Amino acid sequence: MNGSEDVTDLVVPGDTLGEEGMVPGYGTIKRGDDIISTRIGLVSVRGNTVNVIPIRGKYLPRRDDLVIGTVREYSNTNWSFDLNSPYTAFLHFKDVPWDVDFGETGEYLSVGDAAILRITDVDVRYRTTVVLNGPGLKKLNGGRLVKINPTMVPLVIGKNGSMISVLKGATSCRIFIGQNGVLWVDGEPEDVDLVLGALDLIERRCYSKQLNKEIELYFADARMFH
Amino acid sequence: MSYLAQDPHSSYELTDSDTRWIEQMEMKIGRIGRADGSCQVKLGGNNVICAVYGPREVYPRHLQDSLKAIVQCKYNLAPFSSQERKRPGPDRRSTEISRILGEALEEVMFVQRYPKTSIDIYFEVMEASIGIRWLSLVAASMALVDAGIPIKELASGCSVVVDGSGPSIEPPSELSPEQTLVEVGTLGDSDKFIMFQVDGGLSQDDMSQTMDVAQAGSKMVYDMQKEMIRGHFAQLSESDEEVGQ
Repeated sequence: MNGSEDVTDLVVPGDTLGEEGMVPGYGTIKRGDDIISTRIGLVSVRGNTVNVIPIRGKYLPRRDDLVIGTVREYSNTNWSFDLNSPYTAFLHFKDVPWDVDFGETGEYLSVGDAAILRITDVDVRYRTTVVLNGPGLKKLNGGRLVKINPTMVPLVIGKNGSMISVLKGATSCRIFIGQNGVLWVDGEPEDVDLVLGALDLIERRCYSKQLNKEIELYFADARMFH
Repeated sequence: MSYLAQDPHSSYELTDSDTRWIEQMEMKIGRIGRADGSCQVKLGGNNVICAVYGPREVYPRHLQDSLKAIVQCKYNLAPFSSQERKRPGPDRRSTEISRILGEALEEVMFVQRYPKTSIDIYFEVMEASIGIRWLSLVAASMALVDAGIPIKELASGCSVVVDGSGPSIEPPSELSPEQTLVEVGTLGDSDKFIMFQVDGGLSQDDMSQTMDVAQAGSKMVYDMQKEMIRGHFAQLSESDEEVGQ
């Protein structure tokens, strides 16, 4: 099983996982000789490591994650961003693609504006720093922001980006998925509605092993009725 | 020490009359859509709804702890929850129970993983009878699972009534002055107690026997909790299957 991932049954906190010789991974702890699940989720075995992929929970910032944040407030030299997480991220006025003067931060990004950001630093107390200057990072104009459960992000992306390809291919929408569970969808209003419906379906059908097929069917049905 | 360790060598054999009441116990997860996690538990004359929000930012900010999440519990008895009307608002009893439940639940969670945040747990007691504290604890631990907060184990528990004939885990509808009510909370099916409350007198001999009985009862409740959680999520996937088709 080395290198590949085997996702199996639903486990609840307190369940004993794995066999002898296994190593506890994400969402697990070691108690005596047993590996115990600490979250509700699906068991995933990668090599000899047992992980639990949570199906519920909040986003915790991680270094190098690409996220979508909205401005909560700004000072003369900083913006603070809501990352759909218990922790706020800070953006310094020198870490943006524009030449911003002291006290002019509000002219570039105001309260409620959204942007694609990269997390550059997270300390032990989750003080988070983000940047806006880099490839793919930008202020978002237009489109719709959608919040999903952050634990569903890997499902929306799919294996090697298969699911996101289905969503983009079926609707010709521009979609960006932040690791924090915030999505930006831009396109024709009907197409955006279709994508939102698909996202809802993905969240509800997260257990399905044929999720891609179901989403393709959803789009086929939706097109038939339009 | 935050919990009592019980003698692991002694155990109590449950009888049919001990286990009959558990069939009447109802647990429903996800009752409050706006909460991150919620659960309703009903048993006999007790009915409690628990909602969990968080981890989220702490307000007011001076309460935040830079090393761990704070657990804020608010236990509220509805005015219509008991025979006599209860005056709305916090009182000495609800403040005490809030604190006891908060301290018990802090033992269950990995609070160090969420520094500077708050995990808010609200209890609304719709009907109150004997043994509402352990039921609140059971409801909270299931709501924590629904909220996706990592926990060491499900918090379980049960109540034990001690009288001249020995301890019994069958919840009574009324408590006579000779009877003593013991409410316990345990960390899963382990021998660790996270809550232990005694209303009345308890001799030293009764004490160890009571703990044995309580542990056996908690194990039964614990198994039911796990079954309910699994059932809830399995039901979600099944009902969606129909929607998908």
